[in-house]
Amino acid sequence: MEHGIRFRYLSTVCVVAVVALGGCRESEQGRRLDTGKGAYAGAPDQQLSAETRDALALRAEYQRF
Amino acid sequence: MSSRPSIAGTALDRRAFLRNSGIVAAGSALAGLVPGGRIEAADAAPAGGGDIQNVLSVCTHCSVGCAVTAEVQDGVWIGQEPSFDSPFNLGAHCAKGASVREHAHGERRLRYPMKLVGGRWERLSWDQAIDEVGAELERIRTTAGPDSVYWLGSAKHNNEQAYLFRKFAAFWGTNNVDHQARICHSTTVAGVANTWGYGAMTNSYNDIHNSKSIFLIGGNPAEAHPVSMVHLLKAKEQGAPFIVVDPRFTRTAAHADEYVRIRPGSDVALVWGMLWHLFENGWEDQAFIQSRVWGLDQIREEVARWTPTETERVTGVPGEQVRKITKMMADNRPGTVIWCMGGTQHTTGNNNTRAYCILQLALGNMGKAGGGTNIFRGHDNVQGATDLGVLSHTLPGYYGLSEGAWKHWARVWGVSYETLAARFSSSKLMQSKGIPVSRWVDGVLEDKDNLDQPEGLKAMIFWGHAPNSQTRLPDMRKAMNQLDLLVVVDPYPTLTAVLHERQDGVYLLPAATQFETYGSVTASNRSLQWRERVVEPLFEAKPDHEILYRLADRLEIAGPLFHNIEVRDNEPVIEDITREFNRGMWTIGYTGQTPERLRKHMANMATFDRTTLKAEGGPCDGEYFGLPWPCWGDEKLAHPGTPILYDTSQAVADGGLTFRARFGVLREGENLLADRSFSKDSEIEDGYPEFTMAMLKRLGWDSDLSEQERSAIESIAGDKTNWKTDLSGGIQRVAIMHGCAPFGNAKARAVVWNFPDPVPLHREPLYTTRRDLVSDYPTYEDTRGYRVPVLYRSIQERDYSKDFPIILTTGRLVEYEGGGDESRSNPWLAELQQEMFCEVHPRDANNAGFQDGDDIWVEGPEGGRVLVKALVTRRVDPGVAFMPFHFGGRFMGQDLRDRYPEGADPYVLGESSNTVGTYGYDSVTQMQESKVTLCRISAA
Amino acid sequence: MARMKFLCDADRCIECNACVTACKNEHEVPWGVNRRRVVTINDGQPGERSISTACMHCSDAPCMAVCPVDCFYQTDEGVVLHDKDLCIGCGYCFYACPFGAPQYPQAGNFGGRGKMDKCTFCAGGPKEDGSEEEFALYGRNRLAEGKLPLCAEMCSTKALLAGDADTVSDIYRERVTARGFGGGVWGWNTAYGSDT
Repeated sequence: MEHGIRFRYLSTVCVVAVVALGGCRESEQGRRLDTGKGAYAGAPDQQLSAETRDALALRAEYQRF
Repeated sequence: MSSRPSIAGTALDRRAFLRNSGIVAAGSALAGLVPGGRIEAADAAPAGGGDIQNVLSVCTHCSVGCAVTAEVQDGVWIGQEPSFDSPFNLGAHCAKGASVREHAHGERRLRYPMKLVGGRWERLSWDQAIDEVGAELERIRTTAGPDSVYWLGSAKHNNEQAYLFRKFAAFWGTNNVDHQARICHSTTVAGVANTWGYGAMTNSYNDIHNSKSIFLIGGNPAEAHPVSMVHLLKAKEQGAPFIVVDPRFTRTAAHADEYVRIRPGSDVALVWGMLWHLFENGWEDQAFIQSRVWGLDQIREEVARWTPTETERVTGVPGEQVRKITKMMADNRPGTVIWCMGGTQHTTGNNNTRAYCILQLALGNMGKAGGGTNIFRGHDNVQGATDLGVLSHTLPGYYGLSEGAWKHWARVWGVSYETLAARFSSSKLMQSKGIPVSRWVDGVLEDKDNLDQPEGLKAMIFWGHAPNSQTRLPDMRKAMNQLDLLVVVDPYPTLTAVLHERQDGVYLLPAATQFETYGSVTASNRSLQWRERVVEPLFEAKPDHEILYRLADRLEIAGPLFHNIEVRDNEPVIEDITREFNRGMWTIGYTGQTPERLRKHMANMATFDRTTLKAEGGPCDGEYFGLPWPCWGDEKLAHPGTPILYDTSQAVADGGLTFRARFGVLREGENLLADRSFSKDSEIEDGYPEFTMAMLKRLGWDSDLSEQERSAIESIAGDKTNWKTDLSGGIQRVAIMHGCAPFGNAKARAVVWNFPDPVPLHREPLYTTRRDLVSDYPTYEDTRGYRVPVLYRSIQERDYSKDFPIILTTGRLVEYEGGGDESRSNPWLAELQQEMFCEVHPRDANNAGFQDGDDIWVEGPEGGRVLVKALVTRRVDPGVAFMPFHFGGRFMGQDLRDRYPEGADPYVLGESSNTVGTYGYDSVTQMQESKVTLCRISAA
Repeated sequence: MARMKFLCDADRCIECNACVTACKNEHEVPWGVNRRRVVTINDGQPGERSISTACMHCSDAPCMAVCPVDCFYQTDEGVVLHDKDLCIGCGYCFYACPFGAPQYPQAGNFGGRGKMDKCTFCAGGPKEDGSEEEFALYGRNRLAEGKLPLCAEMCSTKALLAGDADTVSDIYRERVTARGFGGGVWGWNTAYGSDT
């Protein structure tokens, strides 16, 4: 019976270890975790051109009815 | 309304990436599955991608006629953009319209011809399929006669295909041809046409902007015609009281100013209750009635009995509310009256539609902007398919089936009358109404001695029709089992493919959708629009007109059938078909809408006003969008179309009209012609009969005919040639030149003396819980019609209400359309409605011991039963239950999914409400009763 | 230019779900992911009203505030977007969002493995505008094409409005003035009383 408990203990440790180490994959390394309100850390996006913005302003008028 | 800007030069070269993205990948994956499939074209396109083209089509779901702008690249439909320029939809769509690009995937389509062999689906080539079906049809023709084959067409045909379908049936030699109009608005067409001339929506969705009040009865446009709601709500926001009458608190009712809960099947009683107040208070339009209405005194006599007390007893609507809505209508003129299936699908459907018309006549709301009977038709082209005669009681253009009608069309078709007559079993059958779609089941199951044709039906051709939109599905299953041949021509297998229990004798032929072909389509407001082909047919699908040609060729009738129509590579040229019906459809003015004019309208949509539909300036200056019929005369007359029927404030040449002189000139010694009422610029300043050559001569106007016109008229029937049969169009041209309507100028008739109930009467439904009303308002005696027996009293006299205490009614959901085979196969729609359900009031649910979300059995008095989810809601009254009719693929608890051809089963299956739907047919048109029956509901 | 905003006029919304399928259509959104939904209250009873909701692109967005990996950003037009390469799918934004906008797809072309997906105001994400990669991760970028979100552009009754908030509010104000009855915007009656 004691043997059974030890076996269970060991397998739990193994599972926990596998799960915990799963977070150590290369893609997960160096990820910044921050619970404060922070600055955008992702890739930059393109901005809309002035011409496109004008087009969008005009386009909104189609909804007037 | 502010002017709409044009968007110049957007910043990005659009969507170059899409060539290699998911959509094309899906396309080529599918192409890999179908060797020889046309979709390969997309796959074979050069890398880097071609230009993106915008192709303009029209939504294939309802009759609003929403323009669809498709972005197509290398033959693949990659995007859908709003059609802001369309005066009908202003860019808008509903859930269905916003998802039509699912065609680019078409994952659940029927891919190639198939037949059932020993209970398994086997693939066939088109040639083999046409040959086998053709051979079997010929065998049946030889052994049982042409009337044993039923040609069930569709409101999904475009106009050209619809016309060709009717013509095909004529050359096959039967009037057993029909389509969904029979079970949707046949009672409207009959009731309304017999009141004032034409059986169509009199105004338009757009014209509702002008309405000062809206009376909507038996319709749920928020789900069935969602884009029409932009026009309705606009009127409401401009101050028009919006009155909704329905047994159910619908999503439309949620937007009403006044919601009136009516007992199902008591429409006539309610309208007479309203007229009681109208007459009592002198709110009727005396001057209008005097000059333009006949027979209203007889209506007054019937209305007198509909006191507030009696109206409340029959309809359940509180007396005070009836007065209130009547006053709303009287105080806010012109108002419009709108109805849909809630009014039409009854044993008394024709009475209902006539009562609605009489309400509008009494209020003086007809022939006016903002007034009219705005009848919302169902399918995208049900108006067109009706106009072009896919019906068992008429040839195209409502010419009927008389010898004269056949001779007219024989002239147009360029064949002799004798050639056509030789195709029929007898001239009697040639001139008698065929079996309507609502009764085809009885055409199979009735003893042949009980039918007015030599043999029963042996073959059914379901060409674009979902069987679950029809009542009595258990009987239909029996009938399907009994046939020699069952053929489905459709983009999807439909419930027809799986409902029967056959092992063989079933063929499935994949049809192209309307986005995979082109041609004209008629919206509810009678405007024609032209669709361009968005993509080539997917897989091995073929357009209806090509399949008709191939079949005609196999049956050896292609020669005369396509006499005036060029056929290229087995595909008849659509424009030639349009031009042919342009040459024959004089009755309702489908003569001026040439392919060229319609294409011009589509290209210049933005120039048409969003309320009047009239083009101001531009290439279509002065014309109404889509040349709403009647568009009189030929192309040369350049008639602008008729936006509002019977509007005497306009000249006929500019779209004005009078009531049609269709019913003679005298009745009971009274003048049926208009009394000093006439359209603007009319040279006859009083009523007049319909125009004939003899009448032109009497008026001395025959001198205005050209020599060509005169000789054409002489060769047809001389002086007896009339405005309907004159193929030169001369009589119409000259009448209009003198400011007159070719069809005459008469009064509308409130009493239709040739109908079973000349004055519309309330009659209790066949299956009713109100046994106390049966003796006061009994149904009709059993009778015969359309070649079959029609039962009334023998059903009503038995009391089912003890065992089946709940009234069952049916209707639509916004996500699905018709039988739902297409929309339940579209994942974007299917995800939104995954379960068939029945709406039940909390009181009934508690009494029966089930809760919201439970499985329940809904059982009908004829033995049909369905296993569905309970939706417990106050949307329905205690004692009333509602089910949507779009589901199929489960039958009385049995899942039929494994009976579909592999990969062509819709994402969502469910029990069909019409499995519970019962017997009952309109006394004039054989419309099915699908709005009132009885049921009992229990926990499963 | 002011901020891009959605506004749903509940006096017009008929719960037709066009906005939902337009979104599915435009972005090839897989079954089970709903960037936009129509919510109905008092269903089947007097007072039934519906509004269409999605990410509202908050000016001070809670999702941005709480994100532990700071994957959110806001464009110059006020559109709230996020970088799926950075997102860990933790669901914290789901806690914070007042509209239930974030979705966590299991698979499909919206970045598998449970990364957050939501309405982009049809503005794509931090990849090259109009690129295949942007489409696969975020859907189409209509704004870059000079077009507004398709859900609003295709709305059956023009209930759902989208665009520059100044224009949207101008359209809405004009409607309310013409109607002469209360505002159809959600919460109007609560805020101003039912007879305003």
